[in-house]
Amino acid sequence: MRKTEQLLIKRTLEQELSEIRFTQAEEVLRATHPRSWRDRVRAFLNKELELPLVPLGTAPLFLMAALFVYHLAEQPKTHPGGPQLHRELIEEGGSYYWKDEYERKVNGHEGDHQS
Amino acid sequence: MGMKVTIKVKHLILSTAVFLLLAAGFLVALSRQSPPSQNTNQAVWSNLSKQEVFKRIRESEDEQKWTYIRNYLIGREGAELTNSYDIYVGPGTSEWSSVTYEGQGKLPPITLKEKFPYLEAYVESGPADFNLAGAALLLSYYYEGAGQWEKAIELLERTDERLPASQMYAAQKVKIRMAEVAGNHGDMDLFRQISADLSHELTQNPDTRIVEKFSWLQTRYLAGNESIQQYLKALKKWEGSPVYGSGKQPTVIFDQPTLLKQGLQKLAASKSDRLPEVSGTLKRSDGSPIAYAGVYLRTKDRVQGSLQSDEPYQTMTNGKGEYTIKGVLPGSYQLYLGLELDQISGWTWPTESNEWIRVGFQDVTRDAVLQPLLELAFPVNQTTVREDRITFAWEPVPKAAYYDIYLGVRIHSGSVSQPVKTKVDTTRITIKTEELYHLIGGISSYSDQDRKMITDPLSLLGFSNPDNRFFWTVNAYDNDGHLLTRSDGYRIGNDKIGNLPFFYLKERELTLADRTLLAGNLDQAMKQYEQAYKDDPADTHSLHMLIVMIDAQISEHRSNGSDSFDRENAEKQQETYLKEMVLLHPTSGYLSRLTDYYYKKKDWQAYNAYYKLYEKAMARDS
Repeated sequence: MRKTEQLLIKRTLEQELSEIRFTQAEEVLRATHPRSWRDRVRAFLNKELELPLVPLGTAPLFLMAALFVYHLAEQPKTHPGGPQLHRELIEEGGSYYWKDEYERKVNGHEGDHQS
Repeated sequence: MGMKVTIKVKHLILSTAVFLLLAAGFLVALSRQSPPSQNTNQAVWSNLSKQEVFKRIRESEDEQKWTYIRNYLIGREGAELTNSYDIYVGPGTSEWSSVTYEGQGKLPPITLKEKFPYLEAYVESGPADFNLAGAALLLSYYYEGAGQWEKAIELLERTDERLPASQMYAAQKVKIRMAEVAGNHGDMDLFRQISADLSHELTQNPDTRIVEKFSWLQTRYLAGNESIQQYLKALKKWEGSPVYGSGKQPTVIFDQPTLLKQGLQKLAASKSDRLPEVSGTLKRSDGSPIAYAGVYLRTKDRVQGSLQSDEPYQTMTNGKGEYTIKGVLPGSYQLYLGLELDQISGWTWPTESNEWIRVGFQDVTRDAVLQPLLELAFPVNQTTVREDRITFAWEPVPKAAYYDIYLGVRIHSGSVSQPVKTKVDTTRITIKTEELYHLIGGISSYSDQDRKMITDPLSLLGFSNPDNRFFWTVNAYDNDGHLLTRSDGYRIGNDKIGNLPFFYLKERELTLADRTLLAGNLDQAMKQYEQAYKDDPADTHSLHMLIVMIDAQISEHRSNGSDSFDRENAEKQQETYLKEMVLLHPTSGYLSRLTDYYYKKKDWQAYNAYYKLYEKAMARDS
C-alpha cells in the first residue's frame, strides 16, 4: 500500500517534471571548475569580497586632499608668474634694471655692509 | 570588528574607475583659472603676460579682437615709429617709455616683429579708425625696409580707401607716407598725383602739422629726385600764397619751418642737383644685426626734447639692420635709435653728445655699433670698504687706451656722480679715501610739501657719510678719445645684471656736526663745524664742510631769496677757508675754486699764484 502510494507520487512527479529539463549543467560546471582563461576572469570578477567599510570610505577623502595639496604646490608653475607681470624699470647708480631682479640681487648682498 | 561591506570584484573595479574620473575632473576644475573679468570696452591688463595677451587676441572675435589689438598692440597714442619702442637713445641721451593705457598698468613688452601679423589683420579687416592708419604706417616701414615698397604702397592705398571722410587727419597722414614711399623709390608720377590730392585737400582744410610735414616732403623729393635748381625756380615763381599747384607742375607749399627755409637757402646757393641720402647698418660688435629698430635724423632744434611723431626723418631698419633715409637737406643732424629692451640690454651705443652728422651734397654712411657693457670687478655688490685706501678694478676692454672713473652718491632725489680719475691707462686704480672726502660735489636740493627748496644734506656730506651707499661707473676710450663702451646702461635680465656698482665706505665715523647736518639742521651744523675747526685747526673735514656749507647757503639764497643773507661776506669767508684748506690739503678741486674766485674779482696776482698751484696739483693727480 505504501509502496504503491510512493510509486504513484513518483509517477505523478515525473509526469509533472517531464517538461522541465536541466540544461545548464555545463555552465554550472564551468563556474565551479573554470578551465578556459575567460572562465577564470569571469570567476574572478564575480568573486565576492568582504571589505571593511571605514578604511574604504576614508581612502577617497585622503586621495582628494592629496590631489588638492599637489595642485597648490604646482600652481606657481602653471600660472605664468607674479613678478614677471608687474615689471618696473628702475634707474640705480646710472644703470637700468628690472625692479624685481635688482631687489633680489641687492637683498642677496644686504648683509655685507652691516657693521 | 567594525562594519563590513560585501562587494563583487567587478563592482569594485567599476566604482574605482568612476572615482578616478571624478578626481580627474576635480583637478581640471581646480587648475582652470577663474575667468578674467571680461570687459568689452575697457582693457584690464594690469596682470597680463605677453602670452596671455596673444591668447586673448587669438581667442576673441570681431569687435573684441580689434579692441584687444588696439589696446594691447597699438596703444593709446596710436602706432607711430616714435612711440613704438621701449627705449630711445641718442648722443649722450637715453629715454625709456613705459607705454601705459589710461593708468591701468603697464603693457608687457611686445616687439614690433611680434605685432606685425596682428597689425596686418587690423589693416585688412579692423575698424576704419585712427588706429587703422597707425597700424598701416608702421607696417609700411616694415615692408619698405624689407625691400617690398610696392606692397607698402598697396597697403597704404587700401587703408586710404577704407578710411571714412571723418578720419581726414588719419587719411592725410597715410597719404603723406604714401608720397614718401613713392618718393623714396623714384615713383614720381605717384608722388605728384598724391601731392596734387593733398594740396587740394590742404587748401580747404589746412592742418599745420600736416602742412609742415608736406612741405618737408615736397622739398625732399621734388628737389631730391628732379632738379634742385628747377624746384627752386618753381618755388620763386609761385611765392606769395599758401598752397599751389596741380597736374604735372610741382605742387608747392610755402609755409615752411625755419630749418627747412635754411636748408632751401643752402640748396639755392649750391650747384648740386640732387639731395643726398644717409644710410648705414645697425649692429652689435659681434656682427648680429639690430632688425626693425627705429632710426631718426634729428635737427638741432629738436634734439633738446623727446622724439615727436612729426620728426621729418624717420625710418626702420630691415631684417639685416640696414637703413636708408633719402632726400636729406644739407645741415647737421644727430642720429637717434628706437630699440626694444632686449635689443639694448647688456649693450650700449657709445655716442657722445657732441656727435653730429654733417650732411652736405654727398651721400653719408653712418653705422651704429652697439658694444657690450663694461663689467666692474671691485668694489661691487654693496661691499664695505674700511681701509684708508680703496682699489677700483674692472674688466679690460679690447682696444681701450684709457678709462675715466666716475663716483656717485645716492641723494634724496636720485643720485649725483662726478669724474674722479680720468685718463687711467690701467684697469685698476687705488685712491686714498681722504681724497674722496675732499671732493666738492654739486649742491642738490629738493622741494618739500610747501614747495620750499631744501638743501639735501646727503649731497653736502658726499663720500664722508659712512651710512650712505655709493656707486661708480667707468667709461672706456680709444686712442683718439672716442668712447668705446661704459659700465652703466640697460641691465635687464639676470644674465645681464652683472656686478652691482654699489659700495659702502665706513672708514670714518660721523661727527656731531655731521649728525646735526643729516638731521636737517643746517644752521646748527654750521655752528658746530665752526666750533670743531676752532678747537682743532687740523680738522680738514670740518673745514671742508664749512666751504661746502657756504656753497649751500648761496644756492639756497638764490632759490628762496632771503633778505638777511650777505652773499659777499659769505664768499669772503669761503675764500678764507679755501686759503687755509690749500695749505693743509692742496687738491685741484679747492685750487680751481680759488682761481675762479680771483678770476671773478679780477685779482690777477692771486689768480696767477693759485693757478700755478692748480697746475701742479693737476700734474700730481695724473
